[in-house]
Amino acid sequence: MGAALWYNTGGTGPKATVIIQRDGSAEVVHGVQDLGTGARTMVGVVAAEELGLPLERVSVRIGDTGMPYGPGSGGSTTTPSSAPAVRAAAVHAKQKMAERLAADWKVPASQIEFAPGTVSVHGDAARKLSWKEACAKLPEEGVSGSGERAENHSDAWKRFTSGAQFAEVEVDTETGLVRVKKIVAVHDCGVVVNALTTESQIQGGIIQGVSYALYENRVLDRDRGLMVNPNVEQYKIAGARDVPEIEVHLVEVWDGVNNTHSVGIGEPATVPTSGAIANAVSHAVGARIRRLPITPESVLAALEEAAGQSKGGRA
Amino acid sequence: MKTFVLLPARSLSEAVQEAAKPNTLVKAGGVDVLDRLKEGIDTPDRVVSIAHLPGLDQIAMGSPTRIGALATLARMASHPELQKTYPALARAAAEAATPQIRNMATLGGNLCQRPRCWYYRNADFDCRKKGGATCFAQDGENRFHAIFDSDLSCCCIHPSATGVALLAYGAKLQTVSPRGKRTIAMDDFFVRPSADAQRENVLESGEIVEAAVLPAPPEGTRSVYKKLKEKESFDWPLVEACVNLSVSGGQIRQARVVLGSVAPTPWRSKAAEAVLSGAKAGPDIARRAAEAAVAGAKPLAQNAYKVRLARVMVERAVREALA
Repeated sequence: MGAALWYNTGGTGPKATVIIQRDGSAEVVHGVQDLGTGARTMVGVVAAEELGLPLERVSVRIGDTGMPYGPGSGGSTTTPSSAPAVRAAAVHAKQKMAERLAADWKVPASQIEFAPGTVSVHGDAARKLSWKEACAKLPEEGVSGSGERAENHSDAWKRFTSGAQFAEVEVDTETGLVRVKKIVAVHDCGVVVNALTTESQIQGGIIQGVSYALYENRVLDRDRGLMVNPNVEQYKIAGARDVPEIEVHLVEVWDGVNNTHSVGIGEPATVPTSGAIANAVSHAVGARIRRLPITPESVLAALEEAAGQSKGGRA
Repeated sequence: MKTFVLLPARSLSEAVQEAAKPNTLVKAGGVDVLDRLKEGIDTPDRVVSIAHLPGLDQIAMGSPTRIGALATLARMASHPELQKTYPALARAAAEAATPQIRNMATLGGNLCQRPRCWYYRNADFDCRKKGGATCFAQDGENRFHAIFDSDLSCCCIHPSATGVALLAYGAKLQTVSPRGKRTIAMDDFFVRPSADAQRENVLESGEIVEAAVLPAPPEGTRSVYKKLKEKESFDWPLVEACVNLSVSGGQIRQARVVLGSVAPTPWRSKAAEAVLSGAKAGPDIARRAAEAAVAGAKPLAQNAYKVRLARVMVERAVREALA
């Protein structure tokens, strides 16, 4: 087993704009980027949920520094920094829409109620429109709202992300060769914005963790300080056949750190893997290996050392 | 990359004439040659491509069997009769590289590829294989280097898997050059660094491998090729072991034992063969052959573990062959 505790819950800076169009669609503009983690999906899901729209009615524009500021991708901070800004923008756009309809219906804006797919006046069954009909009442250019990532809530009960992974390995004690058979990963994921991309990112973290545990090694020539394996042929990275069976369990946690309870899952998914593998190897062969990567050479050396110690013990 | 002229040869005779001209490389599948060009290890003026020459990719089973130099590793790996008659060769082809590379890589290219030593492959190190004065691996990062012949002028390991298997089958190579045709036994094909660190085989300027010729295996032949690598997906091996035994009446009549990725050439272990030849196929014969195979090993500072791996792989290969 290996465990991870990750301290970074994201923070202020990100800004977003949400536009509600007259045809009932919505658009989010936010300068985050998606390097394969599913950030685009995350932005769309957060806006769609706040607006009560199906995801396909929300178009997401990201990936341009000319857009409202988005966070960098790093430190498991992208989602918990972006999602609150997007939600805040969607809330503000809805408020603008409520003001328009309130003027039309001659009621205070606070009386306008949104439910998925409908807009109505509180306590008045006669004044209820579908989302599409309500949007048709908007001006030609639609309405927009902007939002900003607020400070982390000081009264959040938890300010870290945690996870645990379990490894099953097979060790050939004659050659020292280690194969990872299975990884079970249980992760605190805050409130899951999108399960498919979250699981996918955890799987990616685990694959990288396997690579880190068994293969990756930047070899420097000691006399000259030059890296001798600066290419993907000689710098070893786990390939398709080196990937074990992976089982991911997402644990939803309402931590209260931000307005979406969202967390990032970059490091937490990859940090525990090598520890879990090293512990499993140790459990399998009865000897500790305290250096990565765990190679046939290091496993054989650990086995030899352990054999020597037990001999010494008997003597 | 330096600019070069690509010459697609129209015939083998044209290819050897062109290949004999100065500063010229021959390319078949291009797997290794293109790497070397991109890495700046080779800077030829001209590259003669033989990739499209017709008829050189034939696999003709018989006595002897003849495999054209342009047969791809993928075809050798999936050839049903080759798998049946020369399983160690088919296995060596099947386990090399990746599916994409095996579709391009040829038998001739696999035999003639240059070593993958990380000092040789780095243009910043002017090593002996490139004509320099130093073998950087001997006192440097040598965990993947030679454990036999490691004390010669170059301690690289030879990368050819098919070379290991062909040596175990006692094959010969047919070559063509501007001076005519010749046949070279696999036993005489590879060059040790003590003779010349800058080459791995005896091919002369303009000489191209045309085919490998394998003798029909005698009755009771059992051959096995085994490879150990850190990764399951593409990886260069730590050790390869190939054994070719002919067994009758519980007695090993003939034996060939060849190790790969342990020396600057595919490494035939006559000591292991001596243990096996004429011996009864008893329970400890595999272990004794394996111990003999590594008895003369000369590991470097970082690769003593490979001696143990070589012993284990020979033992497993012999055991599997006798099973």
